[in-house]
Amino acid sequence: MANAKKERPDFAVDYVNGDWDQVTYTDNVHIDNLMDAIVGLGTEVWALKRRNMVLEKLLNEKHSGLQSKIEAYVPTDEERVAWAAERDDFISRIYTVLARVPKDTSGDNPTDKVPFIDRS
Amino acid sequence: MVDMERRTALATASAAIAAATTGSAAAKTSGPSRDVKIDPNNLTDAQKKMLGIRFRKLDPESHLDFVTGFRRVLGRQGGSRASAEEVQRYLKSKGVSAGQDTDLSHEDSWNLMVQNGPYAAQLRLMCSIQSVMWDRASRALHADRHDLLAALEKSDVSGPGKLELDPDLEIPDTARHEIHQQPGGYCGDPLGGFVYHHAVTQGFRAGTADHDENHIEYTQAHAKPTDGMVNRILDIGCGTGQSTTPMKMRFPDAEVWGLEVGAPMIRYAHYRAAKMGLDVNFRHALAENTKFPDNHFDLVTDHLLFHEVAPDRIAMIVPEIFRILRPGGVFSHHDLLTEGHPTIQPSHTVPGKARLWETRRHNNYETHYLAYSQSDFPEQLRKAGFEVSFPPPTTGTRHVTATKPA
Repeated sequence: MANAKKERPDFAVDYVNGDWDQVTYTDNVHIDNLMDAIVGLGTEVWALKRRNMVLEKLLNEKHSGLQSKIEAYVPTDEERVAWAAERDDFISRIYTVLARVPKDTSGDNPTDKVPFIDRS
Repeated sequence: MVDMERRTALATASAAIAAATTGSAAAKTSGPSRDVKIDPNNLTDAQKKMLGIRFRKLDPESHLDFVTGFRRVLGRQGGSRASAEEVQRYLKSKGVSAGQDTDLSHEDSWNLMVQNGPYAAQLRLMCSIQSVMWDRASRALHADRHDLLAALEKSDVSGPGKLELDPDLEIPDTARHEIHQQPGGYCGDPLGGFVYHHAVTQGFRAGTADHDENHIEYTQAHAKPTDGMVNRILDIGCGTGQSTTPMKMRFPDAEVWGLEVGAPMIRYAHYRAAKMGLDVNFRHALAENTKFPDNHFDLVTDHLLFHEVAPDRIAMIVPEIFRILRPGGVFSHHDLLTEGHPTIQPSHTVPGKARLWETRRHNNYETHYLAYSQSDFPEQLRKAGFEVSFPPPTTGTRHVTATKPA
């Protein structure tokens, strides 16, 4: 029966509490926990970076009422595209390592030359 | 709550859309009904304002934006290529072909796959990001719990469409699961509709449903009776109503109903439709006991309902749909794959079977999905009396058209 007789009815009922948050995927629960925490950390870092982008944008415009403007700011279409690219790069930089697959590193060290690193 | 600026924009847009979609049961005809074509890729600014949503604060929007990017970069689409090669290499080392059907059970396939480190790590990441998606959306919306519940309470008795809530509805345990890992599922969180819509639109569906584009696409593809007469429509298992309101936009003269077992979901569906100014009705009831009269509807639709429903309930729902459709009426079914489709069935490979098992139990928590995928749903429709046909797919999912003989 739904919970409709409260002072403010919410119509919610008891539910079957899943155990999906208890599942361990790797053979070491600490690795699962670490990965879980890293994902959560990234979420917070990205939120900070995104907020900074909004802040910088608004500060540069020297508008008053900064706080409410920050909360209500809607990115332009161009910003959405640029921010999405920035976000994807950020995620690649930090998390691609987590998807690394095993490689055969036995035997001699590699000798093949590769182009020098150029970040210009 | 949305702020005043956004609320004003929403109201203005809603009025414009409502003016374009007026009409109701009063406009019933015995001939072909007005059928409006809507291009989800060319929505007007007014339509986008009406259909879009936003968190009140910036941070939850950013959290969900991160989820979108994470799934895109490291998820099944973006990060699976190297993983697929690794899976092939791993299975080959176990004497198994990744591309051939297997006699292994779903559980054994899963047990084999999860021993592979990269596969397990990929699952860990996807499960973790899904938890983040629900958690951040839920926290943000529950911070405004009082205002949102007050808004629902006010909306419950507002129009233009009506909401029929049944506080005494006995909901089977099989419908009370935390589907997709959503805290409380569809029934256990009073803000479940808000949470679902915000999280799925801004996280899970990753830019394909910001303005219901995905929903408009597949509802435009729903079949209709050959006589073209669509006076009454029922969207069964309507959830947040995102598959219901597009049917009103498509058939503006029809009487449109949504039906849903989760009260928090259907309250939100009604709240949103009312905000849009759309005359759509919602009934809180079981799909196996809709309480509508015999031969009542011209068109019954569903979107991704049945793979979340227990087999014994499906066995009751199909005859109920047959009962409430008029002769010549159509049930347009839109869901994931089952057996019995003439051209495409669920995968029987080790990775495919493992995926189905993990989805049921370890990832996405779709308790009944595996059983549904193993069933011959088209044959169930035929046994109930339907004539079954298979239109070409429009999205990643499949339509099945079931017609009640005239």
